[in-house]
Amino acid sequence: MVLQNTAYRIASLFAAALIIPIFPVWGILAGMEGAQYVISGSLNIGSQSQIEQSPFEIYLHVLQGLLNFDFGFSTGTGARVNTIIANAYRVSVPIIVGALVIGYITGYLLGLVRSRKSNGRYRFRYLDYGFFVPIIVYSYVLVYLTSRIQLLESAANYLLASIILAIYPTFVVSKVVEQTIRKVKQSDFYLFHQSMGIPRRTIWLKACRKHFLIELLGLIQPLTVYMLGFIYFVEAPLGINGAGTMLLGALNHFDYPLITGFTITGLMLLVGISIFQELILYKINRMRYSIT
Amino acid sequence: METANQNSTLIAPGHEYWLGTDLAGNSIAEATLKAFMLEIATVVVVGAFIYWLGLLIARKIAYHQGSIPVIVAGMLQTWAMIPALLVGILLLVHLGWGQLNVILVLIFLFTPTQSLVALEKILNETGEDYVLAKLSYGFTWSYIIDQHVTPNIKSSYRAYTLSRLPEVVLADLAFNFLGIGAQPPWPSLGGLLFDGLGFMASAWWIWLPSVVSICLLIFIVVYLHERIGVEWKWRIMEKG
Repeated sequence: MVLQNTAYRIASLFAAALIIPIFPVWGILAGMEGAQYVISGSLNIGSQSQIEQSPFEIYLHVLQGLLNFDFGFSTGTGARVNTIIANAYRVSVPIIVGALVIGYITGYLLGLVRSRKSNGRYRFRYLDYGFFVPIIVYSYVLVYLTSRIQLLESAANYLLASIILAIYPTFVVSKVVEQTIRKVKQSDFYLFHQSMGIPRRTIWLKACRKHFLIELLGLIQPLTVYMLGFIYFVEAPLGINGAGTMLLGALNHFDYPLITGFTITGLMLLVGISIFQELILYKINRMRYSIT
Repeated sequence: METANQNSTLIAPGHEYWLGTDLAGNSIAEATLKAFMLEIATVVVVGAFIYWLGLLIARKIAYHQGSIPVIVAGMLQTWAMIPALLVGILLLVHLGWGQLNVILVLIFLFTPTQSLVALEKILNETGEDYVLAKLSYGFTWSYIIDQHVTPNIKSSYRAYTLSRLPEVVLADLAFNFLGIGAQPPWPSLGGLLFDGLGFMASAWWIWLPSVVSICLLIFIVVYLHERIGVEWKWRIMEKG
């Protein structure tokens, strides 16, 4: 199953690499708005003569650039797209990693609280509504309040960004922890060990850690997808020049090479994380993640 | 209703303009109401389409027996792991900006995962005894899927679709915030938030009504899911 899933992901990456160059060709042929940016950005030149190339030649040119991880030059700044993206990720990756750490720690603690229900109902379940509110609401409100009390400094910006980005992951992790605790408590091996007189603490510490590890590790990829997809919701209000702000600027100025470079590198990064996660999970639990 | 006035830029809330005006002199109250209506329309249209399309695709796949549904389910699972928002941005860059394109892209992005869930429910249900009994009576596989299996999974599938509506709201908000959704003069909640970005402290009335509208919409959607989804679950349990 691990090999199958990994093969699917790698195949989807190759399929994406073959399909993506069709878009600029279609854009040029369909006469899309701002086609001159597509031409100069995707074809990496400003010369008029290149437009005389056939669609297949344009497709091959873009595909070659894609396979060499060369997304051309930004039509806004003229810098290499790879350099701009690398600098942007250098700012955003610590925020995402910080948000993951905060989300896991607070989510784990909240999950322990949720698992202690009274009369079968979680006492604070209406607080769950707060987790569904988009993070941009929290960004705006917190930035407004902190600007009122003159609290915002550069270091606090990054911490605040990680905290806001960690809100929904906290909810997801807490739900998974609660469900895992409930599942384990109802499982045969737990009841059997309990009937043997083994203390509950010993059962949890010695036998149940792997269950938690597997369930929590399986959340890394979807949470990273969420954070990378919505990072501009925290970077823009907080004035952080990371990947989100870069994307926002690129879309506003229709910087075609930067937009495609960001989305493609994001796709590759997330597929790579999912393959890595799959292999780690296989290493931890070979029985569940069999090689067949 | 308040009307726009070219000389009324960045006026704070008061008697003349209940929620103030923006940089262009447009009434924030009118803009927020229009944007809220647009958001509701988007959620309803996308929700309806992904519900029916997902079920239709799942049924068509389930008509085939053997390994085909399993292979297709594997491919759909791979799609589910792709960051949909990034794909959506790439599609909108080429399709062009506009709320109609956003609706089409949202339907395109959400339908595969909907069909995956519907397919899994159908495949799980086909293992039940009544399906084997119907087969032994001589009913065709497609007839059993359409007339017996699909009605049994519809209520749980409906609850699942309702649970995805907050994601639809969030994705639409993201596209509009990035400026690739509804274009001026038509306002959007994400667009109003973006407009208020440069006036966080000085003109809070530009972004605050949007924030309140977004919270209200999310609460309505989540409450509907809890009420309707839970009610359907109890009905199924009562029927046994």
